[in-house]
Amino acid sequence: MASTYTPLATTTLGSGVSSYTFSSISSAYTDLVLIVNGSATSGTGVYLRFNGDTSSIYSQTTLFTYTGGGVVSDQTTNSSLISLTNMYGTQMIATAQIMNYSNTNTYKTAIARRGDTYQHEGTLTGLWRSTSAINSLTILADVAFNSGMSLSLYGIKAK
Amino acid sequence: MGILGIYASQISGHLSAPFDSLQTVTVGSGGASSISFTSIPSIYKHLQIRCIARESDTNVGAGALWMQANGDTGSNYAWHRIWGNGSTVSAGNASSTTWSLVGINSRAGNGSTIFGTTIVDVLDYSETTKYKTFRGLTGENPNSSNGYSGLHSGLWMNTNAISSLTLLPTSGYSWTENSKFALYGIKGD
Repeated sequence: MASTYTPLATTTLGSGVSSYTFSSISSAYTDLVLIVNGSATSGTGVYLRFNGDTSSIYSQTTLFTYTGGGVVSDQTTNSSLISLTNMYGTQMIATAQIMNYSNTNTYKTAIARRGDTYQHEGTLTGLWRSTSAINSLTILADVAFNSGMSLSLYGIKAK
Repeated sequence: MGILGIYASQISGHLSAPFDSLQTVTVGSGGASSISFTSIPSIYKHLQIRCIARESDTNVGAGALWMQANGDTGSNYAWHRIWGNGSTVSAGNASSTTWSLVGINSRAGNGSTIFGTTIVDVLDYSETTKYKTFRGLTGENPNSSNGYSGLHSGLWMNTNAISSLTLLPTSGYSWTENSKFALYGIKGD
């Protein structure tokens, strides 16, 4: 049987890198899985952007717990990117599932589990209000990622 | 670089074992009152359902994603959930129910291009010594205050191997066109 869960690309970043793009993503799969594992400069947020689109057509709903804050939920609307997590120079991991990424009948929804050693553990649901197939995925930091940040992209293919 | 191993039990969909696509159902223009995966082989260790779903309810917000195993309509299910809507965190649960709430979908009132997404893990589905446990990561976001991001867990109080799974929206509504449900089998060592 042909592979269903396929590694597409992976990279380990050096120091001073503020963004990385997975480009020329094949439309042959059904879902994408992005794994982000590493750390970034203190005060850095980590974000996602699709197809290089910088327009304000992203939004998200989150559920998370943080030190001293209990369990909370927040949201953004009409944003220019999806915020994976806010880091403070700590280790983070996030797994984002980008569902039906090449389906031109739907806007694109991503669901993610994320956490960092400073304060956040939780989930998010993000929306990109475009019916275009996703062919590139950019991971960004406010300042820069630390050396050793690992980014991996997988494709899952349904029958 | 090969596929990474499982980091933690909290991360759905990330595996080291072979992962096979078993069945896919895409809802057509006529809609569907429910969808079912049938004749599920017992050769895997776990199952995973990955779906985008929208129901015909013309209100906004999140509708239900109910699941039933082997056509069992008895009060043999339970579920728990925690979720946020962008401002408030809520929790819920039910026991001795006839369906398990494994996730949510997007109501039609959110717009025709917005779908809820859910990943459901069905653990040890063919083990005949255990009740069956479900775990869901789910959400929908309509660029408003009617979003949903949450975690669900469910139970089917039966030791039979699972051979079929049925997914249903909120009572009285149907799945709309372009809803898509995919079943995968995950092999153990």
